[in-house]
Amino acid sequence: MTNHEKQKLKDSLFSVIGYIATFSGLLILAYFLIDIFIDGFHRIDIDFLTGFPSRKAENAGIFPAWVGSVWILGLTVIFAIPIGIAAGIYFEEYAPKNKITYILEVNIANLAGVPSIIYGLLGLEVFGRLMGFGGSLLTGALTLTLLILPIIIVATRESLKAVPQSLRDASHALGATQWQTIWYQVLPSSMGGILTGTILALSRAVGETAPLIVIGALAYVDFIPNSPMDDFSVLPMQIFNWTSRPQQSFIINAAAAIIILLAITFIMNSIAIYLRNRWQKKIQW
Amino acid sequence: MKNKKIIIHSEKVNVYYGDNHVLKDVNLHMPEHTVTALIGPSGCGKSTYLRMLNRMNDYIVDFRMDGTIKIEDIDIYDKSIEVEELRKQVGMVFQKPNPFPKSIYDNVIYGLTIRGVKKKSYLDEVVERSLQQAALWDEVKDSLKKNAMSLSGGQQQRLCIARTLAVEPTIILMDEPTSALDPISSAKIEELIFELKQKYTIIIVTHNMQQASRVSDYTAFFYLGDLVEYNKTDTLFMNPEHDRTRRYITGRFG
Amino acid sequence: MRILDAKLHGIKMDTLAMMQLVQLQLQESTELLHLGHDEEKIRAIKKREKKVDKCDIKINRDCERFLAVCTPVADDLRTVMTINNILPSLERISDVSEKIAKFARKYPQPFEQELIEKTGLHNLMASLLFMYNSVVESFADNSTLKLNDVFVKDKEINAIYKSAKKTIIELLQESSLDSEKKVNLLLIISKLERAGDHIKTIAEEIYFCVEGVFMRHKHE
Repeated sequence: MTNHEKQKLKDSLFSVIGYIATFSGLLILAYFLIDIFIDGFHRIDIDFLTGFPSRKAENAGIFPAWVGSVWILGLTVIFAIPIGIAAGIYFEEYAPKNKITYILEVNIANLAGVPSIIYGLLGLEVFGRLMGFGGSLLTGALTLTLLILPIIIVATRESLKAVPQSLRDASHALGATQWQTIWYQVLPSSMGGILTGTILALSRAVGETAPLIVIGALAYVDFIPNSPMDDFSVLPMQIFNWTSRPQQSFIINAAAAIIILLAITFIMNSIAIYLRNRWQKKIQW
Repeated sequence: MKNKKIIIHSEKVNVYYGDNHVLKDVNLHMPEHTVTALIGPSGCGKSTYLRMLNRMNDYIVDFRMDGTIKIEDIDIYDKSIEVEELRKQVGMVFQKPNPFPKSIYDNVIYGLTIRGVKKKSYLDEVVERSLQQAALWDEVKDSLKKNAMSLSGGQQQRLCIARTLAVEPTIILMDEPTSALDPISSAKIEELIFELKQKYTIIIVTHNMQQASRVSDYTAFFYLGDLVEYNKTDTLFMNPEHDRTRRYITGRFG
Repeated sequence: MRILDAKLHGIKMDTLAMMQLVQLQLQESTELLHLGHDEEKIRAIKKREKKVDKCDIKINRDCERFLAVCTPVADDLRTVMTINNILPSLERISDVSEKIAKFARKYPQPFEQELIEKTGLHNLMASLLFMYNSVVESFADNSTLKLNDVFVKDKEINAIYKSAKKTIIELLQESSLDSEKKVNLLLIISKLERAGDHIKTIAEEIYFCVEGVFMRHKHE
């Protein structure tokens, strides 16, 4: 076989392997989704969405669970986004390129890989016990903030890095200060990437269970939280709770709740993609 | 060229990037309302010198300088100088056109926006005046809200010039402004420079010697950080004083 | 307008001005041949000669500067090279006029009418002025329409010169009266014929400038 033929064979071989890899993953996912839908879709109705948990599976609803998830999401947004983006901006635009900065950067990247349950333990001790917030939404939100902060910081930095230096040069040459350049040029240009990264980080937070269990989220709540200091439950917790029950009816409930959770995740990711595309159109390098 | 006032005085200017001695003892005095071309092979320090004039080298990490640069009798490296004010007086146009990814209108008024100017009627005036001066008004006057990135390369560069003119500088620095453009767009920009020198003082770094000789009144030849020769353009190109200059402009090296 | 248009226009205008000075030189020196000694005219011609020399130097320098600084191509290049090439011819035409003026000063008496008619001096001078005028207009308008007349007239002038020479030789053979005058007339006619050649050279250069076709040493 000539060299040219060998190369062409490698080419087609790689395409085939690629296809198989992609589709096998998708196939497994499809199987799971179809299974869940078959099990749980019929269970979803207005009572399910607005009902409280109950020992009787038929009467159980996920109202406190998804409201709790929304609360947690809201509070995490309030804490994580400003801190995360600000830190990202600091590292990328202001921090002097010295050893201290380098050490900080490396460690933040590492933090993204720390198991979430460790964050749970940290949150329990610092927010729950030391600061006395107990097992409240506040503790949960602060813990999740710490969890997703590294992701937001990294996403922000990458988006800022993608803004060409020529833009900053032009802004500086017209007499803009560092902050003006960031506010008027760099941030708007990188907002698409920052938002995408942030929303993906948040959709991960929505699905976190282990750290929330550790800080004391409840498995069974029969009330809707009214303030950040209230106890709470979240959707993943409710799912975890129901899947540990032997009764088939609870399994069905779990399947239904999973569909709702997936829907929330799907919507958030879609928003992220939509925003990224819209920003891409505005900014063409 | 009747006796014009010298507005840029550079005396014994030395520039270092870390241990690298990039500009050596440069003495250069440029008169107002003239075009001065800075020529020389790559790495000779001409762009570095240009960027000294609006302190864009401040952003380079291990930048150091000694000597004085005075613009209109004010030492621009003095501690009391506000760099933002300096850059209002000394504008810069870059090699690759770099308009902001915003509308044409917003691009032109950016220098005013960051200084808090808000009055719409005034801004409208400034936009028209600047685009007229940059010979771009007729082409874009009906589409000021269009994104600047949709313009052609030559138009983008003229937009960058308009943006610089909007803040009413006295000096305009141009770092190889046409090297990324096609010949027709380049010619338009050269004509523009010729027009602009009546009101502004222009300093242009260029690799293109024909452009340097066409467009400038004075030419400075740099080589490896030294200012080898500075003279009236026609004298330098007809009969250069230094052999090195002669060899460079005739293409015998570099 | 391109940057170099302004500069080229300046050089062209200077050249036109020089051509007009030389035109005056030609006119006034031919008038001297008619009228004889006229001190004012002679002084004017000498003064103008100095001006013409100054123009020659200035335009020559400007052409060099233009080539160095503007690096012209195509018709711009031909224009400036043409101007540079016609300067010596213009200078020589003016020189002829100055020599005629010197002669008029030395020999204040004009030539006899009979002699002038026999040699065809009038026709010669008229043709010369006509040729020069055509050339100036062609340069100003950047056109070759009138240049053919120039080449034709030059041939006429050559013919007149030949016949004048013959006539004068015959006259000398007939009688040795006023022989100095007759010889002087021949010399002047010879100089005027040379002036005609210079004008023809200018016409060739202009033709090249406009059409891009080299005409030197050969033309229809």
